Amino acid sequence: MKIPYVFLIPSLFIIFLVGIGPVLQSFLLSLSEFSLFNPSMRPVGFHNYIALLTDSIFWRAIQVTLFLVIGSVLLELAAGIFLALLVTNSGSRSKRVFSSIFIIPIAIAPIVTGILWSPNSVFDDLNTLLYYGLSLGVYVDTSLPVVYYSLIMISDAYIWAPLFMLVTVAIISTIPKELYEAADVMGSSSWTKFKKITFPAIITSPIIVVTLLLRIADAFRMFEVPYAWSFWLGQDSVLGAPVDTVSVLMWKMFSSTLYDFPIAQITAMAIVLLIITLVTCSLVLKRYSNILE
Amino acid sequence: MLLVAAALWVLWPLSIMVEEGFRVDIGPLFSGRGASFIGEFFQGQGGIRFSTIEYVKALRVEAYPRLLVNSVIIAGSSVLVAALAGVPAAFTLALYNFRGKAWITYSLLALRTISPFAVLLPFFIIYGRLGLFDTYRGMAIVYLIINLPVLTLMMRGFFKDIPKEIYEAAFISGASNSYVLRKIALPLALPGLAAAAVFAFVGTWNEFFYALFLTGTVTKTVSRGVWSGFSESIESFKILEFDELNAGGTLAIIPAIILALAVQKYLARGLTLGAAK
Repeated sequence: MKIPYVFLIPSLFIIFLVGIGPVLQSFLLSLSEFSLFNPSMRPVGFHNYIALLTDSIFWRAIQVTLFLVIGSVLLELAAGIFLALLVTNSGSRSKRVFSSIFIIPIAIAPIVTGILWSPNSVFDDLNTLLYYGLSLGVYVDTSLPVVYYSLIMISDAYIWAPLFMLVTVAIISTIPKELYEAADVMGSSSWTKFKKITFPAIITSPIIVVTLLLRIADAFRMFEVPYAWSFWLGQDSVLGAPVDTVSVLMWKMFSSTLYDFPIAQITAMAIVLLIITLVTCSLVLKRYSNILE
Repeated sequence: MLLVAAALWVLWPLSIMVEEGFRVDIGPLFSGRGASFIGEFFQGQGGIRFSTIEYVKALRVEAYPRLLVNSVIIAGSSVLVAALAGVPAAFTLALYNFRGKAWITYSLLALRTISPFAVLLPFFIIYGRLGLFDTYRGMAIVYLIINLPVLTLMMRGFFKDIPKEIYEAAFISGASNSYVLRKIALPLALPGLAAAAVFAFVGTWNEFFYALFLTGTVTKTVSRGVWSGFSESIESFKILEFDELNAGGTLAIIPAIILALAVQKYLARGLTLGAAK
């Protein structure tokens, strides 16, 4: 049969229009000194990139981003597997009800989790209980870095753990029953069965690899929750301080739009972030090339 | 027991948000229920009086219905265009092998994972020149970045699910590609198309970043309104009120949750771009 290349034309056009074209233009902008108040395209070579690589705040932002990406994706994976085990080991009726409840967060906009896990919602209840209810005289201070970093991870995991749950449930249902029966014959405990059968099956599945890949790429551009936290922590402390508190890369780019809007520098950062994401994706896809076929 | 605890983990923050929306207080930002501890300071009580005023305000005084219409128009038209372009491409990608196929799939994947600032600023500049800034057309085009990969890669999976024999039988009897797509593949994959469309719609509905930069008074979407209030103005310097935020958040997630539960069966598939069956 003749291959209908003409079917591909609209999609390729759109890919060029909203993807490749703007990225190329961003790259050109990043080689100039263009800014909102200085619309000159005078080329400055790789000056913006060199300035970035010698900027300690930029490296700090990369560190914070990597830390939050790894932390939140691992948390999602662990929480997702946990939820999946809960769901698969329950009766068919409660399975339906609870998996419907667990997947609710998938539909919640990331910006709303900035409200859901804000210092004022869950922690008001918790702190009131700790401080007054139990009269312990202690409370969780949400302005401590260790607390708000973990809360940003939790906000991300709150939305995406259900996705890992769905994926894991799908994988578990493909594990042959005979493996578990053989393990039963050998008298293995359920922990051994999880460690030797279920967990390796989940981790080596190409589906979980795709999911992890997409989640990692998404986490690199996490913006909404740090944006929300910049309000909870007081925007001045985030914007003004030399070492920004919730300064992920996306936040660093955004916060400079609030002042002098140095478009060339922002696009340079964006291109760096794009390269990080694409390299990560390519490395994974090289190993699992069948995903693209 | 653990199941109930896990359900509580999901529902507790949600219940606080819904309930906090029904409260009213005098303090501006730091006024959750109970005691608040932020930094060294003890922030007083707040949100103690039950009232529907925040919800009524969002629905009647401010423009939640208007923003809802904006969101629906933008997401709907963007998904429609993505489907018109993406479904034929998905059909080709699912049935044929050709040179450059992996590159097309890869660029779709890259489009899905692109860092927003790398495309935003050219859009920002060009839209300013072409007068597309703050228009439905402009926003629908921007959201193709999210919707085209989702539609194409999901539909590719659904087309692949149809047994090869069906396609072969049609082609042997002399049917053309467009006939097979319209009369055979698409009717069989129709539930999948509906799921993919709903799915992309929810993604666009929840999108905040592009909306923050490219919408204005005309096209302000619901997800942008969550943070800056549901009025039709932009209100960059508005003081955040906790109860208002919570009422706004509640109103914004209800349609998304209903739609997501409707396509529950396809959720894993959509979010992994067709990898999970």
